[in-house]
Amino acid sequence: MKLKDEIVLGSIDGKDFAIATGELSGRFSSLINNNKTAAFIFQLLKTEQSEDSIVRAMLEKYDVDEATVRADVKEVLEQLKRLDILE
Amino acid sequence: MDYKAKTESEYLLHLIFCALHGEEPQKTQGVDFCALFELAKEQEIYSLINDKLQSLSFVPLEAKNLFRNQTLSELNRTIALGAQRNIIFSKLTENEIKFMPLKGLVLKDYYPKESMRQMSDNDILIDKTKRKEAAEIMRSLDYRAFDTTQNSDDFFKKPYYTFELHRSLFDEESAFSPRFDSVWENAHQDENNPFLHHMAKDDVYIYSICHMYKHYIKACCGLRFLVDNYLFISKEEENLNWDYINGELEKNGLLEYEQQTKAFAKKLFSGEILSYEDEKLLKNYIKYGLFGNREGGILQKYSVVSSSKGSAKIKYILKRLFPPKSEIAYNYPIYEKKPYLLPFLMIHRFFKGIFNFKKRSAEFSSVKEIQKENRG
Repeated sequence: MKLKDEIVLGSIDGKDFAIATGELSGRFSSLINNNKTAAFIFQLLKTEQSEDSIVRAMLEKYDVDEATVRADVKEVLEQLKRLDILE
Repeated sequence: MDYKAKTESEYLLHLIFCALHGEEPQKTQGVDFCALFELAKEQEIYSLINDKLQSLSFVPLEAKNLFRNQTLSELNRTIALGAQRNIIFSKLTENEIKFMPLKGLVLKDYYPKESMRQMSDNDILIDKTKRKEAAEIMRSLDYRAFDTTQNSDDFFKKPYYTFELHRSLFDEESAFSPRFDSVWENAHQDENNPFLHHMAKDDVYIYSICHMYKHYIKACCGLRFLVDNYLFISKEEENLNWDYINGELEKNGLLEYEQQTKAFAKKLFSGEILSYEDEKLLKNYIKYGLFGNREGGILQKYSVVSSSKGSAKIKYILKRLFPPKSEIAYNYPIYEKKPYLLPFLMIHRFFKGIFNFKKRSAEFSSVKEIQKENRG
């Protein structure tokens, strides 16, 4: 899975955002203000990923146990699926 | 101030002051906040004051929503434009094309928050010998050139991405064309990218004054130019080489203009009390929008003719009937190559004027109004 191409990531005023552009902007017009962890996951999802590959990348970056990381990743991915911005 | 939206203009200034200095706005009465929004929109300054306005309990919800929605949409656009800019910068780098961000891309860093400085487009100076390659990059990214001027190629992609790729900072053939021959030499290379250059601070200032003046003499200009000036000077005044800056400004006849502008911006945004003359000047910055408009242009043309002896109104009419060659060349680019067409161009201009009777009538009403104000 990966983010749809119309999802653009950017940062401004020290905050990370994801926005919908192109056809997606019609049905999804708000900004997603990401915290650092979510921004990292969004960045990974610019290219093809699996839940496992994201968990592995998170474990390399953060000093947290796998169960916590997996739960966080699951939650973010669920939200993204609900927003229908993954393909 | 004695013009429409006076109360709103005064409170807009107060909100700008609070946004720049991190102060809490004072309570006010009698302000039409929807009119204030329109004013902030004309000046492209709503993102600057939005946070302060949202914090005020006495502002009607309708006005708050107008500000919030517009600011959010601006933030969206800024992020999307920034992402496109990164792609363009990468492509320029891959193709070994030197480039230098200009105007708002530099000045945004002087605002308390980057998102407070709105930008309708992005301006980038590129190595002029690589014009074709740069245009090819833009086409490969689905941009189409919508305007080509003497000094820039302007590209657009739906829904709102506009990039102006400049080959020089000013059109060398226009009447006002300050020279920036050493802009690349003075600039410094980015630490991580040898093709990205950052304009020297002295040149940033000279260029911003020249850019402001270009709009000012054409059709007046708005408050954001003054905010840019105030913020840049507040941070950099002591770091600038004033001998160099003043020398360059003097060469272009802008020394007095710069001094007046700087002093006025400082007075305006450091909360000093304005004199009657200051208020008259302020009115011109507010009345004609950020980049000026037709009425601002009339005011400027009228100001030029009224500074010499004789009836200003008659001189104005004569100048409109028999414009200088530079104005003809501006409106009819063919005149440069085929000057013998002048009689036909004048006839065309005359009939265009007759068929645009409404516009002409509005123009003379504006002249009357300016005369009246000058007498007052």
